[in-house]
Amino acid sequence: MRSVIGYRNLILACLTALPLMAWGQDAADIKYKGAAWLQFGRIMHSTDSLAHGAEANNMNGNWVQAAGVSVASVAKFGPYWEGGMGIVALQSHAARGDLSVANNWYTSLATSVGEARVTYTRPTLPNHKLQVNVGFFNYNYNPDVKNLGLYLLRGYVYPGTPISGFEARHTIPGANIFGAMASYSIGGLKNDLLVISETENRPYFDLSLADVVTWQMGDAFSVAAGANLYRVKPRNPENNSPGRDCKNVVTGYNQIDPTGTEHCYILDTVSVDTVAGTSDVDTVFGSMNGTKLMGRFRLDPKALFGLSGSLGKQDLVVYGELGVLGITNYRKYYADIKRRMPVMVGFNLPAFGWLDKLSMEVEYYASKNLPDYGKNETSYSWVPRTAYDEKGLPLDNGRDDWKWSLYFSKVTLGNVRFSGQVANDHLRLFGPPDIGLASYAEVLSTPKDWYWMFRTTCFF
Amino acid sequence: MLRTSYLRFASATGLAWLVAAGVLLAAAASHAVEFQLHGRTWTEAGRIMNSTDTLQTNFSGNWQQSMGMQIQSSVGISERLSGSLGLGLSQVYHSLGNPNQEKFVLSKFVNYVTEARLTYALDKTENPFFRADFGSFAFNYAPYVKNLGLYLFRGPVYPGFLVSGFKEYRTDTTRAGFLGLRLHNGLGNFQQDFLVNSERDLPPSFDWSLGYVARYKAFGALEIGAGVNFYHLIAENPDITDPKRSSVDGIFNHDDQLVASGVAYHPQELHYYEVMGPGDTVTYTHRGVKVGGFFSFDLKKALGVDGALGEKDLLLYGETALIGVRNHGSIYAKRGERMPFMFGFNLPTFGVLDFLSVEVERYTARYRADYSKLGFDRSLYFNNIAAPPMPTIKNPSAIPISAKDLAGERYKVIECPAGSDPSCFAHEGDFRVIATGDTIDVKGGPLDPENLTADDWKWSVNAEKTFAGHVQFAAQVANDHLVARPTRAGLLNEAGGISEVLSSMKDWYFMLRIGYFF
Repeated sequence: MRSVIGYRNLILACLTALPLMAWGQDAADIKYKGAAWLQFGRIMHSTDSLAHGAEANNMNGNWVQAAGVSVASVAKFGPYWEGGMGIVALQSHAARGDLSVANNWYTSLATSVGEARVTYTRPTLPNHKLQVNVGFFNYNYNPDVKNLGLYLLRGYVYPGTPISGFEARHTIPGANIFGAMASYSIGGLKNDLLVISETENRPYFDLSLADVVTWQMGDAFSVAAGANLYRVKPRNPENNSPGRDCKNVVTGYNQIDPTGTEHCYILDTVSVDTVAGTSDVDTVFGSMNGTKLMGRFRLDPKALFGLSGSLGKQDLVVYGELGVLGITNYRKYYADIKRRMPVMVGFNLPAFGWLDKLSMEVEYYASKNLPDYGKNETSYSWVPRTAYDEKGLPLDNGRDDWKWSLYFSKVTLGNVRFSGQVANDHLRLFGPPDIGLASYAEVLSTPKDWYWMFRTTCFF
Repeated sequence: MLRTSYLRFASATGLAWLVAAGVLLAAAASHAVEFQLHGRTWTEAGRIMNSTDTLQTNFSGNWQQSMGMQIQSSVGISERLSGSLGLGLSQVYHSLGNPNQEKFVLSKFVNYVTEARLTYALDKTENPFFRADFGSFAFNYAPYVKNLGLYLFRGPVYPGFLVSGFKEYRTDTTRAGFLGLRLHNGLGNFQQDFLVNSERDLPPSFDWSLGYVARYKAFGALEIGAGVNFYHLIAENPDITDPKRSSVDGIFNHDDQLVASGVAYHPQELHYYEVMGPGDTVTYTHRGVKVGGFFSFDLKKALGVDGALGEKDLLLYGETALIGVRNHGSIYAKRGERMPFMFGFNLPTFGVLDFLSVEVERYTARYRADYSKLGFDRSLYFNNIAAPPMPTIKNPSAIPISAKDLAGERYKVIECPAGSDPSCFAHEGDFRVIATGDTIDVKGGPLDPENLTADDWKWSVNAEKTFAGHVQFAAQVANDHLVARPTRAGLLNEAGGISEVLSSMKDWYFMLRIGYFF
């Protein structure tokens, strides 16, 4: 009832505010934009419910549905200064989970700041440009990505966490960086230096320092490389690099493994004396801090070979990205750097103007760690969670090495956009709204798993 | 009661907003109107560098980070009638608290009405002969105050808590601080304002306060003013504002038992009444009268100095008040302990900054600035996110909290060494468990009820700079009356957010903000 009242007020506020904004165009150079969308889809298959070993997080057949409204403005203050601000209201529905918890299902309404930035842009020399962004702003070093990729600035390093999903935060124009960025470009060469305050994954407010260099060679080809010194300035080093006497264990989430297991360090068995019945176990200390590396490319054969005709602007573009999620090896779970190197390739299929984008993306990530990040979010652990099958053996966590995504979008009538996706990606859904069962696990864990989503957007 | 009040407040605010929006829309639809849209957005970050008092929550070293935006419209409906409405949104985080609490931190969103006002004015000058504001509106009688001061309309009378903080509601006049009516009269250098204000920040809610402020500007350099606030003069429910034995069944039981026990007690352990002597019983009330005076003196104009100085440079200002004219029981027996005063000075920055100010305040109240006995629920006034974790009593009390409530009977301190069973950190009924590493500093310390002098002095250094007419940087370093947002002490529990964070001279914090407005 409460959310219904809230939603009505939201609609009322929007209906009131929008015409006021339209009438309120004053002499200042302020532009307004807005969007409203409705999306829905279904988890067609989810092999297991890893979150806490119970059935409550069984997402098989779950409908996923949401609606949202965003209103934003961009203001120019003279030749160099610009600001952006926006508000987003999202009405979302928790995944239903298993039938046994279906009675807990409800709708939630959340409002958020869509953007809050100040930008200073100034040409310095002919063909040179400096731009500084401060606040909460959007940055996307690989705008071709529709779903998979963007490894440099999304997710943890230890454990390596690829993030994806349908029109997820970093693939859309909304703000995703809280901090500052200085960009300097000379012709087709551009360098972006970012200071990022962590606001997506706990511990919050650690500072990361990232740099991305992009080289655009004509219209046909571009390459980029980057490094992210993830959490290089932790707010509390004891959280991130806990050592032996750490306090990084907390209760409340029943998906957390029992106290005394590998929360703060790795216990690595180096030898077993079967005669004496003893074993040597090394303690491996590590950190949530780490270094990510990234390389990417983009090739547009249309520009390369001079193709045109009925092909769409995005058609035939090939792009790809390689990430390194942590350059330091730690025994047992992070022993092989190749298993921390996700790689993806995408191709925009020819749609001949019928669609704006029709993209196929494929990713390979050979990590054998469990894709469940509850232990990291709620215990600040840099050690991945482990899970065991009915025989007490470690689960085969290599079942999800390959991911794929087929995405389309089309703008029609100038202001209406349709988009959709069929995928087996790193989708995570906040579980059924029993707070004790909160899920930080990926929903799709074997090649059999997949889902689809569809969105209709009206924008101006 | 609190929740009911909150809903009623929400309804009242929503109604005011809708009425204002409806009138403006109707007017706008019927004929051409003068319409202006204003917006502002900001991101801010800072840190509580030291917080001595960690009995409830350890805020030391906590980062504070948030962002927000406001959209506001002002409409000239006719020559004399205008209005304004707007909405704001702030994205905030729980305070981090101690290492165990910070793992539960959530990002939260706070929506609010920035203004919902209708105005009738005889002319459009800043000091018209007559002007009336109705609805939810901003009013600041001393706009040069950056942080400390503004005693007349900030905070309760009994107990006399002072209010301040970075970009606090009443100093940041882009957001409404009053709900009610303001009548203004201007006569040359003289101006006076009469205010009828509905209480919406602190219990008892919806009581009406009547205020009056007069100001006079002399020689273009000196402004002096004085005012009075009849706080909670008209009670929405007198049983809450002036509790009587018959107000609520058993309401005086706690005090009766304490008095009858014959054991020695501190008056702050009482809730509603105090026996001063045979036949002399004082029942505490939330009603009270504040009086105050203030001044500003522009040294530039007085000395005829000009040139490279900035517009706000060399301004000296100050304020004093009596928080509660009437003595009241043994807790409010000395007027001298209810008289805060502050001075501020804008240092010369020669245009490098809009201003760089230093403010200093002294206030000798001998009780802890903790609102839990008074009670409040998600007040924007305090940037609170959720309900306070433990209102100590059901009905709001005009008696400040006793340190015994914190360290004595209500709170049992249990140390939880590293590696303890996590249940050690949980609440145990009314008892509070404190993690190892937290500092406990009460008995014999500056927070001891007999020795609450460590927070008498407050200070604040503020700076601001505007670029390109619209882009603004602001900074503050201070030891003020900050009430930080609560921590998240568990999946459902919250802690803190109900008392001042900075309680000794060692305590301080800083905040930085960047944003723009149009």
